[in-house]
Amino acid sequence: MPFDLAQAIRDAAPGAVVNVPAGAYAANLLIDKPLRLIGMGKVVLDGQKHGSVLRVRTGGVVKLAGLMLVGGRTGLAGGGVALEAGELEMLSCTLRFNEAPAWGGGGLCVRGSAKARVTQCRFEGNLGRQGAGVLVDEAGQAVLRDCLVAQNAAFEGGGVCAKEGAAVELFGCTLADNKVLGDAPRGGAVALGGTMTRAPKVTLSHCIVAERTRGASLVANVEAWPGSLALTHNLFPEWCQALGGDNRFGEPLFVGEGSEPYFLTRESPAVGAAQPQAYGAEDRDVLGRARGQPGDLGAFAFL
Amino acid sequence: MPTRIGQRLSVAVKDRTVSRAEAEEIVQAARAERKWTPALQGELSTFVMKHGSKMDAQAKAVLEDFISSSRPRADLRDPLALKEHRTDVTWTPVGPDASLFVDGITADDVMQGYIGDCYLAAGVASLAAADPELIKKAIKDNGDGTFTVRFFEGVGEGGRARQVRVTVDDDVAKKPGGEALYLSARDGKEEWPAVLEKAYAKWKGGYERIGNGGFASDLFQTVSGRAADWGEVKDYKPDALWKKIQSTTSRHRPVAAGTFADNDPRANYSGTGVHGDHFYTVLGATEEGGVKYVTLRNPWGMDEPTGNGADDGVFKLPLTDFVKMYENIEFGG
Repeated sequence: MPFDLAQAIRDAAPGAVVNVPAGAYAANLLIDKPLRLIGMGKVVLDGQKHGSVLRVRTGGVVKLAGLMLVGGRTGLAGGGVALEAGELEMLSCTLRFNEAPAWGGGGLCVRGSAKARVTQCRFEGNLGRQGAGVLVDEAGQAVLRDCLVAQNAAFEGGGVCAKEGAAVELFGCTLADNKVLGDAPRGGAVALGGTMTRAPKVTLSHCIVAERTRGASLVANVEAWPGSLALTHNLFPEWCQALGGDNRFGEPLFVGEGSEPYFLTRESPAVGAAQPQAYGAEDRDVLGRARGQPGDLGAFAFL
Repeated sequence: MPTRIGQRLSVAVKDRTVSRAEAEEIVQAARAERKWTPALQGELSTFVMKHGSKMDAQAKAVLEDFISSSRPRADLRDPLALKEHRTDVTWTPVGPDASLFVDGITADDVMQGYIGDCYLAAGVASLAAADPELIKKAIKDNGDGTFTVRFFEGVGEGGRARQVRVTVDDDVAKKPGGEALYLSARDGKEEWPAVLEKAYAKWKGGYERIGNGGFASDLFQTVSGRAADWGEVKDYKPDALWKKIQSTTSRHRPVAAGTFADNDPRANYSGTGVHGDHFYTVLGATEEGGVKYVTLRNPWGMDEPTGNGADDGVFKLPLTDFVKMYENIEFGG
């Protein structure tokens, strides 16, 4: 009898582990209790354009590991994962080709007071009106570590968008080739903007932010009600020198071809550029490889 | 820099006398000012006090009558947040005989402008239909051409919601042809829809920031202070959804629904009179001859499926069609 994922989630006791056998599953599921969903092999959850792949609304912690979430499309927010309440831990997941055209967060949307901790994940080819890869809104919080955010497209915040009182931290991530379109495109990689009464906080550290096409604003902070932006020890394109700080500026020199075009070449200024002790012995890159010392900027370790 | 009215006053006293005709000219010049501010009123009052002895009695009476009857209006010099969206617009007061509310508050008052905030326009109309008192309480007329709108921030975010007060003047943006660019009222003298949207835009960082899609439920929460609920239409069994709409609207809570994107394969709006990628106010749920209907309103205040009477944007859809054509639904708390 084929594995019924929806039934397995319904039957699972709060806090239970659901091991999902390798395979492709049509999925537009609501997770409303603490749960661990673990892919056993190659597991694809396909939203089939019929809504978010997963909506998470719980008081506890939901953990997702080893899943590929594709084909989500919602008129709300969060085509891949819509985190509406509770906490989400996502490890080694890929969110690809998901859409939230009406609002945003093609890959992931975090809103309300929800919190997401995202490690070694990929956000690729997602679409959203704002924050095509990741949208963090209201008082949501997200930490992305060792993640690849690439080739996503939005009107505002091609990679990541933080709004209202959101807090977003990116460490050791690669944001590359994200796009902003429309009449007033803003924030090819990252956009943030608050309100009269609260401001989002965004920190980027040890990241590579790269665009093949020079855009109006790679990292955009809304002028009227700006958010708090801290950029430390990242690699940005040469044309972004105005960002200043202790960031580096130049071409990241990706491999640029093959199955992992954002691998670093030996000549890349990101190689060995991490601050001493930035990564611990346990730290891994997006592929799960040891970071080494002193370590490299971005999602991929150079080996 | 001297004001236009100041320059006219200087001319008037040059020959050391002010005739009635000159006084009337001055009043006309004052009325032609883009905005009759307290500063301009003060300037004219000072002029009458200082040069009253040089005027004949009729001229002085004309000026004093205008000063006592004119209502000065504050000019808040709209911040950058409200300027950046379009530059080819003029900002002018709604009009000298404008009023915050005209004949009460109804959904029919609300006419969406030319930005992508149908979620907000539909949401505002939903609030007007469900609980007009809420809107009345939210907007305070400061009596000087400015209004203070109270919103709630942080609703549904776990902590305690905070009140936010945003003051705006009554200048509205008009396109080169004179048409309102943003949210307006069907009655051109009614101000509340424009004031509410303007305050929301100022709070959120500008029309550009709110004109890029959003949730009606956000507006429900920020105006009412009560947590809203939202979901996809397909999450409900049709009869359960119909009942939820009926019970929510009968409790005077707002409801709005959004259609699928235009290019979404799940719906085809061609020839239906319903538009894709659009939000609608949900006015209620009824049953006639054993058929369940959902009553909706297009926030454009027009453009509806045929056979629904006057083209005021209000129409009924059989529930079976509603669940096929609408993707998400949002309920005010």
